[in-house]
Amino acid sequence: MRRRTNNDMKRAGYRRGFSLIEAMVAGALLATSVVGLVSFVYVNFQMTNNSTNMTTASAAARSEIERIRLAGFANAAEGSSTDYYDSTGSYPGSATQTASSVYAVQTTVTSDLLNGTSPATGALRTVCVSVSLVSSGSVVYQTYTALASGGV
Amino acid sequence: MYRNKKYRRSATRGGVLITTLVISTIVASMLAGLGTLLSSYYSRSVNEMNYASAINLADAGVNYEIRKISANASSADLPGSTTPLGSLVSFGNGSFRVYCTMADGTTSWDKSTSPFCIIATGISGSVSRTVQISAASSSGGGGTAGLFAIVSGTMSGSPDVNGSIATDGTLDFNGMPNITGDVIFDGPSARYINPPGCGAPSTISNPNAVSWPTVSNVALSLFPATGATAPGGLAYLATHNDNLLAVPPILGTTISLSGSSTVSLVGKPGGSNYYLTSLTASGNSGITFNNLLGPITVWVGPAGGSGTFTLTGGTATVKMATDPTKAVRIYVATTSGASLTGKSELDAGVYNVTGGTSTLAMSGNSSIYGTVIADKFTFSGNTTVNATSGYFTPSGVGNYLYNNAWVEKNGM
Repeated sequence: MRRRTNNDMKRAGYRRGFSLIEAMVAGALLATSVVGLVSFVYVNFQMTNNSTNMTTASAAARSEIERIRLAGFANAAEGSSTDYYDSTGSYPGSATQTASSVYAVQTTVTSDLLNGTSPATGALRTVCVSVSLVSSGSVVYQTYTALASGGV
Repeated sequence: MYRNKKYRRSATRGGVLITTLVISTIVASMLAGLGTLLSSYYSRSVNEMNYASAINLADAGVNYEIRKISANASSADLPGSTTPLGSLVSFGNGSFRVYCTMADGTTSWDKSTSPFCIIATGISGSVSRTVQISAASSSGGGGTAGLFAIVSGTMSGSPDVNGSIATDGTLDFNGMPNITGDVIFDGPSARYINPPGCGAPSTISNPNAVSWPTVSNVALSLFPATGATAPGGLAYLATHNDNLLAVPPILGTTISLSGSSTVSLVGKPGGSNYYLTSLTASGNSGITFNNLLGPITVWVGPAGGSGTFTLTGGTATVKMATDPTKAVRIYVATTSGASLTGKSELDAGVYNVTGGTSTLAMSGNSSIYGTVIADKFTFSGNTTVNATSGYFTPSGVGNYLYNNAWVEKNGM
């Protein structure tokens, strides 16, 4: 059997050192990956939440727009009102905020021509529906339309 | 032995790193796929929001144009020769393009043909949606009928109506009315509860409901809330009226008549305005209208008030048919309703539009030469209505209206 020389010992030492470096690189890579993964999952979680909020908010806003259309040009009340919707956004909302309220839908009707507090026949009435989160107050969705006497 | 160890060491060299890289690559690929999916879901949600907003903006464009051409048809937006067609208007958090065409949907509207088209494109973010509607000039529908019920009209007994009856709501004939004119249904909700039993008049159906302003709005349009007539409307009339011009003068804002007493409301050049919160008359008592010098308008308020308004009649010195400039008009803003009773003649237009809550009741053998416009009316007995038009004008007449045809021209 050949006796182990100094060179052999050195090579073995390099190999052992290389394994340590390898493990450190792998560890760093894994740590970076985990940090990236957590950030990624967090961003995606937020993105999914935002998407859900946007979809529900646009449905709730559509309901409010239809409600105003149904009331008609002459009867849609001038000014602002707020309805509260739960997480499903199912119509109708509630005029008062409850524990299950997730969305606050503010509908604002303004006329460019008034007779007292009522819209003049020749007015263009702007309807703004703004949906915000009850929890944070941040606006998720905002849409506008207009009403005219004899219009759609 | 040594060779085997060397072989094993060589085989495991870099194994941890390679395994880590492989796992990282697989996880990264999966996350990339998931990320793409979620990103796609997110952008779809954004698109859906813009899609919903775009149609609201397109409708806004249509209504913007209807309002614009109703004010002045010559200012209509036309397609023009450059694409995209029409005029661009910023509105809310987006914009719309709008223009008017002939009924073919392409040729520029000549500003006189009716019906015609309004085409509007709502633009929200990267999404645009286009709608095309049919519009028409307003004919006024049943606005010239002698009797108009906005919500409902009920007739029992055998009233005679020399003229037409119209409604935006329902008509219920329980007796045997004699109607010489037409029955006019305005808008999609107008219909019979019960048609006349026999000798049914011809029926006309108009696509659009006729819009009547409330008494409060009529008062405000005549006496604006700003300037010399502030606070305007009925509030102004409550303190600025011609009650003292009556014979005998009306002290305050109430009239209570009994026996054979009468009050004569007197007209003046430019028109006299009387403001009452209640009027009761019984027996042979009543009021008369001396409109020799000018028209007379009686306002019964306040809006939503509950004062009694009972009229046994009221002949006018000058009939509407003789001189329309001296017409007698009675506007009732109270929601407690009004009663027209008795046997005497009433020469006036009666307007009781409060927003759908008030009822005008006519009974006895009264005879009306004029027009009755009411949220709701009930006829009983043998009332005779000799319809005379020209007293009142509905909102929007002479303007342009949506003509019940709406279509989206393209998708997303």
